[in-house]
Amino acid sequence: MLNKTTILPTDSKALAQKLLRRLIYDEVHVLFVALGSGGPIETMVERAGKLAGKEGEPRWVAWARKPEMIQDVVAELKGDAKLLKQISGARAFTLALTDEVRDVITADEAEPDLVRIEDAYFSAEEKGGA
Amino acid sequence: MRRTPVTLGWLVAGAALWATCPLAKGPSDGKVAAPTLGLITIQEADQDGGRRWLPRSGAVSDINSELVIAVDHDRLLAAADSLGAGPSPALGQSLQQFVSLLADFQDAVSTLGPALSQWSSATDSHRVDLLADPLSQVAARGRAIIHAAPPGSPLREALNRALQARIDASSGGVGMLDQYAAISDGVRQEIERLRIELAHQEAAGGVYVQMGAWLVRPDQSRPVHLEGFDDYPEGESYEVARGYLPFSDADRAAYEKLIESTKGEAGQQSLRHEAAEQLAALMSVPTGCADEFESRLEDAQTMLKGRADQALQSLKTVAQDVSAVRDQAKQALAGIRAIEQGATSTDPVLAVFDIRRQAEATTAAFKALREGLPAKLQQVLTPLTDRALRDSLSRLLDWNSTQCSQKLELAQHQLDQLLQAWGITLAGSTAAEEALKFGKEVRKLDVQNVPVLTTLPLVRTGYREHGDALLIKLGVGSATVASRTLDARRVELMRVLPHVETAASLVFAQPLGRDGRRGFQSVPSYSVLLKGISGRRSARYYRLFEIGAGVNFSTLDFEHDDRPELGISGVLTMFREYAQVGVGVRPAEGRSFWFFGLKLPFAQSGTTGSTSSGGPPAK
Repeated sequence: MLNKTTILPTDSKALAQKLLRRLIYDEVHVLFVALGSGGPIETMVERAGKLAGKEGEPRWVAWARKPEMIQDVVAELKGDAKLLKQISGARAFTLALTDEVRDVITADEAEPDLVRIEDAYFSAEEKGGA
Repeated sequence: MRRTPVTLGWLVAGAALWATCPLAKGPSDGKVAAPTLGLITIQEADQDGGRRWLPRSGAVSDINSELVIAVDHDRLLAAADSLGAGPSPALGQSLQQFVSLLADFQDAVSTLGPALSQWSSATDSHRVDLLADPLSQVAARGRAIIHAAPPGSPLREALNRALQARIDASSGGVGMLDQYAAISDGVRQEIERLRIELAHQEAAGGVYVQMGAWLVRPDQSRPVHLEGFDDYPEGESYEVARGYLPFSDADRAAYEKLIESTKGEAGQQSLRHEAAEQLAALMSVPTGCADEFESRLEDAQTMLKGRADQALQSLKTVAQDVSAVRDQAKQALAGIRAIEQGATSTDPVLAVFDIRRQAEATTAAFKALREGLPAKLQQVLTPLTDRALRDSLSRLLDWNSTQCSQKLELAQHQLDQLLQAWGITLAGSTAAEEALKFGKEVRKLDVQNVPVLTTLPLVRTGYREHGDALLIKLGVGSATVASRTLDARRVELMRVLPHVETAASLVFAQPLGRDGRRGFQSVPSYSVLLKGISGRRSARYYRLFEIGAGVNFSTLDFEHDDRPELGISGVLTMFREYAQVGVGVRPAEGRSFWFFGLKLPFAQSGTTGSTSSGGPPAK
């Protein structure tokens, strides 16, 4: 069972975007957004959920099994321009408490281990980290 | 003349209070965290059961305590590597780097815990403020560790293993603090692996480690035995007495000298004048500091009062607004009741329209009040948070760090000169200590066999006095590289715990009451003092200020009839009995007197103690 993970709906673009916007802008999280589906992505999501910590801690995971559903929301995101460009086709990205993109796990990288996922969370939590 | 002794008495008392101020304080008991820097850490266990870590600088230990000395093995290995006698420099550098990264990471984690526990209960906007900084600190240091662990490296594997172990052990998510603990575990595993590898290389390179200790006295230094590190014999067991001791031969000799010095009018006048001049010069410093602080305090008080008045006025305005709206609502309600009861002469329909208008006006007034409240409350807060007030309060907090410190330094210098003229030196670390070398009795130990802990009971270091110091050095060398010091620690040995001391001194006594018109009489006296009751202090306090309180016995002859009478007083001493003041009574006459005193060079009292054999100690 996934821990602290919101699976965005794949059959309603409006609902998926609404949920994601709520997670980003209305709730205060260090957000790990996983993109895509398949075995390696599922493993990554499970690991990210475990490392999201306990209830009452700031980390959270959002899983967009169909990344095209949330393109509009991704286009609105702020952050380093280079990172924003990398999101397209990436495995995952993380957002800081201030809703900026801080790290992107690209498809070119090896399958992220626990340390890589932890690093993605740390990048989001470090002020000015990217 | 009548005012002078009382003024001097107050000045002396003021100096006693000043000496208890933060300028003279040292690290508080138990509040010094275990130090993380350096190779040697020292913990003191005193005779009263107290235990504390000693800081790296300004360390003070009670003269009879037991010291537990620990050597940081990991840092020692890393430092030993610098000799270049065999082990890979990169290995030592990695070890040192990981030790440093781990220490930084754990420091940051320790500050995050409280903020994290408040995360769930704080409001959204407050959450970010609460957590952002400490979280960032941990994240930055965590990333530094991860960057030192590229994929495929042993550290990376250790980190992954540690995180996986936590995941396997928990059913839901792994708490963030547990994750940090896992990261720390991973780094520690890697440090241990490197340590073992380095040790193997060290053994092949022939590096040795030595640690030695010396008791440093004003006129000499002698080595003392450290269990596991040398072959010196244990010193004679010598415990510095804490309880009352009878009048010793040395005290008697000093007292007799005092009696001689007080004979003759010319001698007495000269002593009075010298004592008064020197004491008055010293006492001007703390009074000046107190004046400066008082001035800053008055400024802060005036400003705070003005601001508070402004804030109160703004608050009154808010209260008036609320009251006006309430009255409006009451009026509307009264109108409604009148219609209900048929008590109005106006046409009911028109009356209802009137009431409706009143209700609308009341609603609008409430809305305006609610919307305007934040701005009005801000007006209340603004005078309390303005920069001028903050600056005024900051000046109050900073007063110790500015002119008063300089004045204190000058007073210390003047006192130093004064005491040097009286044959008392304020010893500190000298170049001679740095030149102390390990004797042949100090063992050369293989790095792997260095004891992690050793204890040094100070009572087994032989004769020592208040003000002596213990010096510990840790060095490393090899067959091809001369021994060099890696770490050195100095501990001042003072009589810190509550104890009784005796002191013979010269005082200047004057009767109180109607006999007060008489001048001062210089008389020999003997005090039994209780010291060490004000808690742990700095070395500077014990060398310069040290306050004592107790009973004074003096030989008085106010009538000048060569029939001395006993005077018994309560006495307060400071500057290590070099200044004292007291009030007492002459039991035979039933009359009171007061005195002040200044211990002059020919009146000395020293540290006394007992050896295991019961006889006098060998110095």
